[in-house]
Amino acid sequence: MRRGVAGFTPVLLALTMGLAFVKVGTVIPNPDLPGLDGSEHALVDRQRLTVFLFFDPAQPRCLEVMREMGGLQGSFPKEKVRWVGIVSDRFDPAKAVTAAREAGLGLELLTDRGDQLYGALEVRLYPTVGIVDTKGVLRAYLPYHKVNFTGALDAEIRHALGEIDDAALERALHPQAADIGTKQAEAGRYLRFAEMLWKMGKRDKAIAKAREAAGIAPGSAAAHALLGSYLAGAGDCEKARPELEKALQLDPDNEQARKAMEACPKQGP
Amino acid sequence: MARIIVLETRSSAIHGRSRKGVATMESGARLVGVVMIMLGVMMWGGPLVAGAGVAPLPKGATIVWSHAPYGMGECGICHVRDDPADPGPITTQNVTELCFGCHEELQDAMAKSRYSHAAVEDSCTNCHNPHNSAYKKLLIAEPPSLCAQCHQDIWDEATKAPVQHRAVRDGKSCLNCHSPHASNVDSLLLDLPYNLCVTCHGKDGVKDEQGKTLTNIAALLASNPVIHGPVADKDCSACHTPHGGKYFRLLTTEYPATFYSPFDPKSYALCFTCHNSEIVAVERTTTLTGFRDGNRNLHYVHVNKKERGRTCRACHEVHAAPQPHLIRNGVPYGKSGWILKINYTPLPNGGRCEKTCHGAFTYDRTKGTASGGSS
Repeated sequence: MRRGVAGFTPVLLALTMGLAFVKVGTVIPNPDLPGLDGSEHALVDRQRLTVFLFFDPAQPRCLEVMREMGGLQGSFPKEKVRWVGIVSDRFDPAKAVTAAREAGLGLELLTDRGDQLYGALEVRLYPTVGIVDTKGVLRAYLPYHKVNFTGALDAEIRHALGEIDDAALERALHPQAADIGTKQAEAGRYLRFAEMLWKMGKRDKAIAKAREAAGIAPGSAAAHALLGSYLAGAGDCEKARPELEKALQLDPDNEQARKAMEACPKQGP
Repeated sequence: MARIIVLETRSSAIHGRSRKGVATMESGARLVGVVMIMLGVMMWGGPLVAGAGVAPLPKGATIVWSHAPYGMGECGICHVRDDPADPGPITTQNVTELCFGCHEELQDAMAKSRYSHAAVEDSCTNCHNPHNSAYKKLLIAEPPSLCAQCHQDIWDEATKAPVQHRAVRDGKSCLNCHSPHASNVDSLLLDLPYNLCVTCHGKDGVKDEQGKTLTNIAALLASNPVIHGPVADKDCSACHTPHGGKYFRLLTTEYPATFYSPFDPKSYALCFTCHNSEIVAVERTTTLTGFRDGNRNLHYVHVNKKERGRTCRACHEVHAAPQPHLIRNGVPYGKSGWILKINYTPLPNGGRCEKTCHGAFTYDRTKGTASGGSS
């Protein structure tokens, strides 16, 4: 995913990318390579996306990545994605077959005689994964990642297939943990608590909890709507109206606030 | 979306990792996951047995945190009876389902995140007391001891390894870097490794365990335009082990600390975990490296020597450098710290180094040179 790193400047990125590989977005060479049965196969598939892996069957990181790819492979139909393993003729092909089988990764194994393709693409690293579309354009290049390799590869394939947009790809390449410590979330808990108390008939406590929620998240239409509707339900329209008006100001489509307001119509001048 | 529990050995036998959208959740696998967790609990004698950590603390115990419904005496929120003296069982079969009744944000996070913590999938009460606690957030113990009840191997690594990492012990300990619930990053990390690492290693004056000042990596990257691939991909853990390890600077494996070293592939194990070791093994090539004069492999010339072979660090920086291929401006030479300039100049089909370890030498990949890029 040497396409961009959030937080680094574009100048740095430009220098970082493409130094050890052909550039993403360019048409790559498409040689015929011999398969294990000796028959020749083109690298680029004109009907399907091709995911290719340069690997050394004895290298631990290659095996680690192959296991991760094996876990991902079943998510993509064979009609859409072709998986190719490219192995130098310096390596024992039997070991390449065993490595792929043990990783649970179904690969069409092709031999790179004299590392010609490796050299032409300036690969330099094992493992290296490339994604090339039906027009022969390199869509992504991923060397080894200890963290987030599967997430990045999954997203790159889906992006190349048109299943996700640029924003979704960016989120996958720069993922984050779920943020559950927000004021909004805390207010949400208080609202659920208030609802349960209301159902149990403990109206005063329910109103108090809803008020706490509105205090924690003053920008929450849901909090003001619940507080206002409970106040209205308790017959205190004078205190309910400002809360309901605030809820409708924050969210003019808030159904709960609108209904509660009907029970507390504005009095005449 | 369907999910799968992946039981792997990366951190421990019971480290469950859920990956959504990858494969269909096998009910058998889930059952195995739960059984493994329970077995783990029995083996380590932790308090993660259902019921063991869920009762209110006894009278007289120090209470730091109280669950709002319990504190308000509203037993009926969770139990079938609203009677503190006899609340009866909880209203749902599954305690996590009950918790999610109010803690919707957690349910939402678990559903939307790529990875979730197996302990949470099993039961919130694996880590939280639903009534009150002597610890913040109703935890039944504080990290790291709470986490170590399942992840003992990680804790052993953090506390017994020759090279240790303060980030595991200081501050929020495990929670400095990991989410206890759910994340879209592997290993339940809060962010990609680089973003986490520079919260400390992006400052001046940070020292290692021996008191040696460590490089401000953020500043280094800001002042050098060429960045090593794993660093650019924010994957510090490609080369460093975050919990603890046996190699200096928490490197994952061997890397020579000296300028000269007799050539032995084992000494370069770290670099060769990604870089092709053939670049220093063959005398002639036209495909494996761009650092060649014609087909004369200049990596081989420099590195592959029985004595005084140049190590990778002799010419390359590891994080970021001012020149292409991470080539350094100069290299520290000798005990006095003298900086030997490399004076590297990239050329269209090769490059030139001059007035450095040797006189000026030019190399040309396409046709070779008379000097042959000799070192």
